Amino acid sequence: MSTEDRAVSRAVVAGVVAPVLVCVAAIAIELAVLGDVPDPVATHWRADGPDGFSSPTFVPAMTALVGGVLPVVLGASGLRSLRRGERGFVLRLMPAVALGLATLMGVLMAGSLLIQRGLADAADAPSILPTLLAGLVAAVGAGALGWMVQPHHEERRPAAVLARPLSRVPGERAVWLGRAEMRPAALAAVVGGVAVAAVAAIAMWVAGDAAVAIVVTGVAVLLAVVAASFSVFHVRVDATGLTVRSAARLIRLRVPASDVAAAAATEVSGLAQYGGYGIRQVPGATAVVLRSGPALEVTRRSGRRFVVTLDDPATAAAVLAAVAEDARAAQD
Amino acid sequence: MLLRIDPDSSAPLYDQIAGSVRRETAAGRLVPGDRLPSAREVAAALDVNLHTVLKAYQLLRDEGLVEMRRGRGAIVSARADALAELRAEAAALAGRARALGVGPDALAALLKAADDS
Repeated sequence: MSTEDRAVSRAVVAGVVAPVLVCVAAIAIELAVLGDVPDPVATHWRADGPDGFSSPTFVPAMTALVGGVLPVVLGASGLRSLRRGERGFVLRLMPAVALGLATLMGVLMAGSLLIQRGLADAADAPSILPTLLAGLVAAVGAGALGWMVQPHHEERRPAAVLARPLSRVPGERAVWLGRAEMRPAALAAVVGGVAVAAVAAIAMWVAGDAAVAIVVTGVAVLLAVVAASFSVFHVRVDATGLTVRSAARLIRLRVPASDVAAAAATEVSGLAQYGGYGIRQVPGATAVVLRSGPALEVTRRSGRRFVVTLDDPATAAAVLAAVAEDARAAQD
Repeated sequence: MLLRIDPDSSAPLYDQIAGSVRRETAAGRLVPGDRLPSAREVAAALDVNLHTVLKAYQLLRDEGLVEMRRGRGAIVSARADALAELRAEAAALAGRARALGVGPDALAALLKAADDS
């Protein structure tokens, strides 16, 4: 029990407390030198010197956002899974990445002001490269520290309930058809993102630069294709085995009935077990994870697992176990 | 959605497919607003003719259990809730019939006769 408590509390320290401290320190340094830097200050560099300028107050505001809010959201994202008792590589990695990101942004942002102290014109600002290098080194160090303060994670996932083959009368055919879908809120966010990109593309064609319009349109089309490919998957269990196909028909994943060693219903946590959502490859498993929750888990003859999130995975598993039995009988 | 057909049964295949959808609805696994898989997908999975599946969907539409919407396919209608509502009473009746030694086919005939009169 004590190790469990430590995993959660250390993740809070590495992924939330430490990034906030780093960010606050960076902002404090920035505010302290605000009087000594030119107005506007250089905020963007090319290889040969600064090429973007902003008001000095922009720097602490950006530090808070990119060096504070973003890392904390990242660092805190796995806490719920950790409290539920789940452990895994990704859950330990995320707080460490959060701390590394906060450190990188803190050093970079505060450093960009420090190198401009006493300048009359920001155009004379020296190269940002040494600061960037220092930031990267510090970030790797902080990330490694964040990783090491957390205890070792023994991979722990919920037990799978092995399915008994669906009982059928001789000659009867049974199939299971369903969909793997995102939660409505997640889908709404994706659709919203595509809509924003589409509006931006239209606005660029109407009012903006043609080159930018082409790029933005390309991004909008790409987003729409990705959203269409990854938001809904059709899942079919029939005599040939398991087929998972994206709604846009671009992607098709199959497990032949003869390759099914076992089928089971289980629970998955996308972030904790697979580091996110979509089609995930982790050691020992391929997974189509569109949400956390009930999922069908197929063990192949090689021992490799194939997982797909579904409502009612128990029935799907029972049908798959039955057709796998048929396939084995046909082979013998 | 679980679909099962028995080609050796005397009941026509389209009736068995429709029966599978009715069973899923009665069990509450299909709820109003759910979309049925496309007829082509069902036909491919069950290895039956597309028209057989279309006939089954037509039957379900005539019963009011599904609505056909252009471009969206077959959607489970509000009628599904009514069917699910009768589930507890049906289970009780089936249990009583079993206790009296009345088989499900005889019970179904009894219900049909009661509905006709």
